[in-house]
Amino acid sequence: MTIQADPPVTSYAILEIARKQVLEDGVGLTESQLVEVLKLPDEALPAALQLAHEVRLRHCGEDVEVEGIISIKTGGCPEDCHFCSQSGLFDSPVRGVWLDIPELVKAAKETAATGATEFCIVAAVRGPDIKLMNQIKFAIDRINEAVDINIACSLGMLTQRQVDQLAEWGVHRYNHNLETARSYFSEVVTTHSYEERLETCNMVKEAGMELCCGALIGMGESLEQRAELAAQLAALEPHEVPLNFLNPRPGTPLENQEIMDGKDALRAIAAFRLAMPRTVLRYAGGRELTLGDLGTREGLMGGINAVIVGNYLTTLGRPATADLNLLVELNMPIKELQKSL
Amino acid sequence: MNTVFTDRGCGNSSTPGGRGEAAAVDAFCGHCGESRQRINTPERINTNDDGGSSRGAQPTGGGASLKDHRRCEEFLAMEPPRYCSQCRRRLKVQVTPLGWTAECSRHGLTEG
Repeated sequence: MTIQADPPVTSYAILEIARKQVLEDGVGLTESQLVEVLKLPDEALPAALQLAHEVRLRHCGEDVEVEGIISIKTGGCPEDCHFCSQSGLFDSPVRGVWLDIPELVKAAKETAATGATEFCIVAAVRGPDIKLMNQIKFAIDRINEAVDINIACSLGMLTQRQVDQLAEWGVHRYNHNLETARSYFSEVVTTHSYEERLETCNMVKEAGMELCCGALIGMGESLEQRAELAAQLAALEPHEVPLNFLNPRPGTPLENQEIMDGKDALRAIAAFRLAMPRTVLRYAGGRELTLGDLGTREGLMGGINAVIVGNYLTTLGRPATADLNLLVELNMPIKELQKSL
Repeated sequence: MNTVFTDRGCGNSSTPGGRGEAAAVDAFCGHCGESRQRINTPERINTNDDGGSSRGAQPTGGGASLKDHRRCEEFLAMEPPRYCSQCRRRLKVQVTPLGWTAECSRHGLTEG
């Protein structure tokens, strides 16, 4: 008797598996399955994006969450994240700047006027000191007096006490990215560890804040490491995953890194959605450079269900009206404000 | 021939809405901080010098150094200026969701 080996699973077969496993059963793809998605040929990309879109609609709904982000403390960071122009260890043209509270409140009002429901205050620090924590408390109070919007923070690594304080002050969501796969992390950051990042993420979740934990892809990681990152994020179960694409910044160690191929970026969007069917998957930094206007549309029709509106921390985004008009065109309603804390 | 650009502030000719010193001449690129003018001094000739920004550096040869700033202009459509176009000082830049400001300690504020 001739024993025939099982036919190899073709690239397209993974989409059939995902249709049953992710779309119907709501179970995210495994790391090895995600590698298959990331290696799909270009001709399979539309089908992958279509499936990711169906998964998003079924498990997240049609709403798109809109957020604005702002830097309260720019530059001079003691950490060496190789992608970041705000590290004080690199020869970057970004100067240290502090934003005053009236300007912060003004920006929160402007952000809310776009329909955004989240306003994230970011500081380029290893972790907040007492001075920064006091400023954050003051800023939260002033913003809450002036405008109805959920406040998120991204202040680096936290102590348990700081986590508890932020939760008590009504911070709705806390951002702390994994950025890259555990196996690639030491190539990108040497001043702190992956485990330290995880520690803050876990404390945030335990304190009852929503965890926003993102990825930055296109830093030279392999497809396997990209899949590893998606799987590690899925295991962490964050409420939101902002998906960034490297925008190589002058003066940083990654300034000469080639800009990620747009199709690879779209494959990554589909893969992340298929890894995390119920997570808010947000378009974040670098999408304009990597994907352009057309890619923005394809991503929104391929698993993305949240956007950062307008500008980023040190670079500019698409005009807010361009994204908002696109959502209207795509019949995607903006998620309405729900104060959950 | 000198290549000059006009600007209304500290940023760059591609950046809108400057409100610094009016009608000033852009001596420096707002993105990379390098000179915008052809300088015929030997010490300026360095075809490997990218001025801190590897993208867009183009050797010109002919005994003159003039960096090609077209790539810088493309970047300035996606990010605020980092150097004052008049004095090359690094700018204090604040980006907000719907705008940005860039302040030179000598030439004032530009916003976009």
